[in-house]
Amino acid sequence: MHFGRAKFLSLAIGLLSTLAPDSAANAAEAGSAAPVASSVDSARSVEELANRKGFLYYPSAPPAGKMRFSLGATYDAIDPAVMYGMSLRFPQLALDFQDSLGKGFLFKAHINTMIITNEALLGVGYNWQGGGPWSFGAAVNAGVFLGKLSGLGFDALTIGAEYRPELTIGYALGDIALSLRGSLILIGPERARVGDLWGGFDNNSPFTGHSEILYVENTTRSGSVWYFGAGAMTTRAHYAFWLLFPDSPGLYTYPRIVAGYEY
Amino acid sequence: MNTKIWAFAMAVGSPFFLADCETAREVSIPGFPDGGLLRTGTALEREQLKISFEGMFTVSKGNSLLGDQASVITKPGTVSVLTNKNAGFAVLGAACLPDQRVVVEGYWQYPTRSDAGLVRLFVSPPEVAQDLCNGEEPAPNTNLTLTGSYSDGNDIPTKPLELRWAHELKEWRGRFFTVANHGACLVTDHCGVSTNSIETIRLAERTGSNAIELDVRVTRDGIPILFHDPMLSSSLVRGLFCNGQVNQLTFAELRGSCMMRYGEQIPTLKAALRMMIDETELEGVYLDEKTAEGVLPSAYLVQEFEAELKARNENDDPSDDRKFGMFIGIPNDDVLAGWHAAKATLEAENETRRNNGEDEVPIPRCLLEYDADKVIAEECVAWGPTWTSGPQPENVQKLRDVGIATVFWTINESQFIEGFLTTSKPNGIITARAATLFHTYQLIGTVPDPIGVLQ
Repeated sequence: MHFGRAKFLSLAIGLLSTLAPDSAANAAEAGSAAPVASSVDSARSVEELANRKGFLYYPSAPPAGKMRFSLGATYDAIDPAVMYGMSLRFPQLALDFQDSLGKGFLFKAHINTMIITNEALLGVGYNWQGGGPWSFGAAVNAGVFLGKLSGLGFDALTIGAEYRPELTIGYALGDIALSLRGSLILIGPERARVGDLWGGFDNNSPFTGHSEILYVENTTRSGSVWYFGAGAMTTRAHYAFWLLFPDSPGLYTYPRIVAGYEY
Repeated sequence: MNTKIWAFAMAVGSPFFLADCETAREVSIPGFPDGGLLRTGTALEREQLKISFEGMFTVSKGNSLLGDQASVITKPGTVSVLTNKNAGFAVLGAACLPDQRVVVEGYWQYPTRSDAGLVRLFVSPPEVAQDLCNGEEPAPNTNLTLTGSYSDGNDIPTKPLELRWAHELKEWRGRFFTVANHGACLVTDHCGVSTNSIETIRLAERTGSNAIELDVRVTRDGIPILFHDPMLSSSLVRGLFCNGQVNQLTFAELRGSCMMRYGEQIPTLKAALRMMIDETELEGVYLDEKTAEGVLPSAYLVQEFEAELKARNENDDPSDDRKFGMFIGIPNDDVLAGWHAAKATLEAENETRRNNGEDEVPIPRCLLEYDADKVIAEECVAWGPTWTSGPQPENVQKLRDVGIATVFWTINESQFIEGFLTTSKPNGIITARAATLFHTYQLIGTVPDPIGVLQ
């Protein structure tokens, strides 16, 4: 699929990133690949924050009991042809919670919702911070994939168990944390209801797709973090847009952009 | 600008360029490298195919390809084997060879995957093959066997395949409508033909459809064409200058700039109707009007072709008789307003004809998609509800009681196809899995009473 719009978005995000964070320039000036203390008063260094409250995406190992909440949004630019010509796509609200269990272990919770499409996941993860700017994380999440709509020609529900293992590699750049996260999306068993009729899907395979998202987390003086990111989702059309249950097992790649704030 | 910032920007932007990749795999429909044995034989006649091959077959070898049973139907020039295993089908030709054997060969495919291969079968017992070669039309019985092999990809077939005729098919022509969803396959399938193209109409018939739903839009100069989206989406069309909204381009501009996904031309509605009437045995078409502006020009075309069919069916030559129903599809209130306006225009024209002592031209029939009560109020002949509201057996029966047919759209999942067939017993279902629907109807469906839609 071709995404002329995606190219435009990528340029826009690129430009935005050059304008937005002074911290990026500071990070660039810092020059060194090693984690450094913040050179400005307005933001904390990644290393400092990683050891206090941690980050949602940058693999960090805060002390036990340290928690993070996050409120964000996610937008998928899906080809209308995959969506049966339905060109309107709303952003999803994303809520995240993270509780450090100490020694690099974390408890995680995640919800994203577009009201009619929802994912709720609980998980555990382990993060490892080396002595340098690099850090690594692994997590497994499990939960539910749920869609429901009554009205607008629908009396439909779809529900499935979802499993999402993920690996993250992080790089500290002054007061910016870059993290590349790869996730495997597994869903099954999955059932759907239309009216009073229940059924399963043809070609139902647990492998639903994968995602690779680059997150940019920007520290602030208060210890909060604002983040944005972008990446590629490669999923079955069914995951991308459940409402009409297209059964093709083919995988489709589309851009995802995310942004939010970590408390 | 600091180079690190640029690097950072590029890192953020790079996934979008990754997402720009063409993800649809190249489609290659397998074929025998030398044209196969069909090239050396004499093709069987249409009536021979219809009388001697159609039926429910037991798959005695090759169950991993077709399952335990397969429906065999015929179309002009082809024999189609339809299963509910991965929506699979085989499209085959049949010919008498110089040694008095009858070969039935072609390709099989699972359209939702890229799996496909070759099939080569021979008719047995030899006496049946001989009768066919002598131009006769032997009725099938339980001795009829199609024996041979199949392959994966373009390999020469070596895996055993055998189908034994079991019994006749349930009545479907004129009774149950397997309606192709703007063609044989979804955009996301691997059939090698584009949705709403002439080529997909042909393939739809061969994969089990006896009617088709097509999407109608109009160009800036008022030509009705077949196209689904309002925009020239790159998933549907190709061309360096093929951009913008369909209704902002003239037909000449559209043809000059765009070709469909697999290289076909975007067809006019007129060309598609002509092709379906002249080159297929499809029994009907449901014109899914995407805009109100398309209703009147579509209605004019329907009137034109209905007049032609009427003349053919009423002349003294029964060989050119052709039954083909054309229905204006109304998916929403905007198009309904267009339908009201079109009807007013057509009725005014009939008024003029009456005043001039000329024959009236019948107003085209309509199919309304969304509200069962409006179907009755608008005097449409069919209801086309979305399957996502469920089987609604009460509404289906209510309309059936007043002579209105129900055709659900668009059911592709086999479990739901089974559920709708047994719960609502509709007159038809729109699907991109015609092979699955046809075969499932044959296995568990109820033959609907004739409802006069095609009369």
